[in-house]
Amino acid sequence: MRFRGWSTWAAAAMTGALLLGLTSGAAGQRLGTEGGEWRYWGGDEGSSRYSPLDQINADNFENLEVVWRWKAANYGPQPDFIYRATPLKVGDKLFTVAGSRRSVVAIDPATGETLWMWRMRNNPRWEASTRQNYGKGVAYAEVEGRGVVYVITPGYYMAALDAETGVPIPYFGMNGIVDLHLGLGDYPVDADRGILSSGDITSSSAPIVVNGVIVVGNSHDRGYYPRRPENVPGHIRGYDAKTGEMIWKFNVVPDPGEFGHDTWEGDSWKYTGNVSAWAPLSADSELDIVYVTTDTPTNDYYGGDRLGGNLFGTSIIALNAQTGERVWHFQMVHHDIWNYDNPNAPKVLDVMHDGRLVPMVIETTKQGWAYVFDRETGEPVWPIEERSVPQSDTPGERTSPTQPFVTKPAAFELQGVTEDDLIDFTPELRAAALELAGEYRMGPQFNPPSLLNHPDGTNGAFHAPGANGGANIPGGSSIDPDNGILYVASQRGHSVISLVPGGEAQPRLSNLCPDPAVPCASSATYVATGPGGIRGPQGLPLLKPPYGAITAIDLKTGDHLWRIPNGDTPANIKNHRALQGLDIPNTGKNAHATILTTKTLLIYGEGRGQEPILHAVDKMTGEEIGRVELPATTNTAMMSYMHDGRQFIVLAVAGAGVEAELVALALPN
Amino acid sequence: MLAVATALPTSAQEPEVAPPSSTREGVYTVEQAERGEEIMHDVCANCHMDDEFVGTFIKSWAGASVGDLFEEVSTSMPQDRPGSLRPRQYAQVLAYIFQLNGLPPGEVLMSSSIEELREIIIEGSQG
Repeated sequence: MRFRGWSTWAAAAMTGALLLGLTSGAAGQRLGTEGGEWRYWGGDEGSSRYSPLDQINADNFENLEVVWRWKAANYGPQPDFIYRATPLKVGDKLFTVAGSRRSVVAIDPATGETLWMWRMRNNPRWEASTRQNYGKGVAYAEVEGRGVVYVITPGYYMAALDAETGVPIPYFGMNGIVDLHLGLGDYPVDADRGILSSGDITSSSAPIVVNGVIVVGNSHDRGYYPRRPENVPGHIRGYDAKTGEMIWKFNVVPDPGEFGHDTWEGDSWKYTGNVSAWAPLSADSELDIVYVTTDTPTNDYYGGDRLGGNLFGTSIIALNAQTGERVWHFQMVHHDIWNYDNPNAPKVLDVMHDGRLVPMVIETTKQGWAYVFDRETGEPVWPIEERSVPQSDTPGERTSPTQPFVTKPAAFELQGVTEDDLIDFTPELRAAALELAGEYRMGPQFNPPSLLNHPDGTNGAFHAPGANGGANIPGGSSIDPDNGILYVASQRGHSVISLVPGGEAQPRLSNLCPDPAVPCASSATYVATGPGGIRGPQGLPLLKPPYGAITAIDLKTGDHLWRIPNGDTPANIKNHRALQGLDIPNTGKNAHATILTTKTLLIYGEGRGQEPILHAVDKMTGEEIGRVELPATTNTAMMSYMHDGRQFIVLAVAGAGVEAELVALALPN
Repeated sequence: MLAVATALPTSAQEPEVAPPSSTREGVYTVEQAERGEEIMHDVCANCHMDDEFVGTFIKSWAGASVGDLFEEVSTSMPQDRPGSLRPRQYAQVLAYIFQLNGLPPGEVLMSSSIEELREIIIEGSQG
């Protein structure tokens, strides 16, 4: 299955990397930010989310204070209440994005002063964008000695800006802008409205620059109940960092004659889309490889309109950054009908394992597994076995007979739902939970979606961790290269998928179905009513706690080191009338903790909608070292940098009633 | 909005019956549910079909208070802009969900105060 013909040049570079690693002799090698900077969305090109700074440590963590707050609320027609940006720090500036316009800003790292701002002119592409929010940040590279900031806008244009001034680079694309709707395929493209065929494509992540090539991913509208089985595929492209010229395209839905084409039955390859790389990208510039992870093909929960294995849906793909050629790939879910899109930037790390320094790439997932590969060959570091899975009885669906099961590291979240997993705080609550869940099909990992009003009396099927469980983008994962440890934030979750015929699907967005007299249905054969799960009795979570956790995994052995709940038991559990008088251990918060690793600490926020507290824990034991209060709740992974001798931590905050801003913390002067 | 505003009870018009303590007792107005339907299809339908909110949904929340549900929805939804609706709009969405589940409307506007809504217990429709 995997291509092994990667270049001699890359082999030589790899050997060099191995030698370099071996000379320093630590457990985990390579990467981490340098010089107090944070040059990539994930810190470094391997998305480690690790800073080697140590000024903030266990002794002084609780002395942290807010140094500045940068208001993002006015960068768009409405305040942003979600804000998922992580700034870069290069030299004397921070660079990031703000608001639904995804304006690019440069900020003074010491004071929070805005230094410059750029925004794309408005056009209908912005109006139609399905990802106005969720802008995660920018990319940075130096081109012929000049710092350049790259951003992908909600309308799916790419801009290159002078890092000093924010002025578009005139020789990049057309006056600094490249239209990313062009070059995707044989689609008619209107200058202001983009691709005119059925479908949508945009992006929420930054691109990544690898040895002079900008690699661009993409994202789409949610696919829970698409209006049609057709969409634009999220092909991956490489652009010249200086000129903006498109150099290559890798087809995530392969054309005839390309590897993987035979995994699409009939004409499904012609019309199926999505398979986007919405998670940020990672790279190993010494190998000249970019690591791309993809999402589910069109229609998250029904695959009868796209029978077959559906490569490269829900896969990790290693591409040569200069040519776009596939070096290797691994498909995590065959014929994905669980919306198990890959949510995290792959982690690149060298770790001593079985007596040799293994160049690893790791993807943490909504399935609750960390998939660990040799990033040079694509070989799993620990066996990943094809095992039989339950089969669908939905008309027209054909489930893959097997799916890949990670044998090590052990899952970091609950997988599948059985009666034993339902809450049992009291016998009454348990009985009520059993009754509620009894309407649906329980089952193991990869339990297939089923029909609403099924003749057998059921109304859908459970799967877990599901759409919102496991690992996901807000918290993600972080690594400690000093000790070869992976930290992953996860949420306990499940989905109950109830399929209805597309023709009977109720109207979706009013603005897509403006005339109430005209039926507004989906042309997909079946669609899900939504991705959510069900509540337990009295509004309590259906599943047993912990509701959110951080797990430390030793990549040298694949063993879990420790697991801690995310923060304290939330108020809605603590104060719930049905639980009064019961002794319930810390359940943690039902959110993805947002995590950062430094030389000295693992630092985390509790995540969206939870208490505004920043925690510090011991990296080796998970024991809490300290906590400080934040002005508002954290929404995404934070970053750290050194500026004028002072270590800062900058994080995005936002939430219900809390307009987006960046908050910078440091020790008192 | 004007129509809703004029429907607000004044002190002279306050009903003489005790305020409802259960969703079976008419805790929202027809106008609130109508406006809630518009919001549901303008905003919530991006991720949710109405089918998600009937049957098991109301059975799950039965026993909790309307305030608990209001707090949950108003602090977490819409997913890409949590808390961005006005409090009265969240109340309208809940009114629509209650209507979907066959719970009766009444004469009194449903409050958008979490504390007041904590006094109303969620129950599914009878039978």
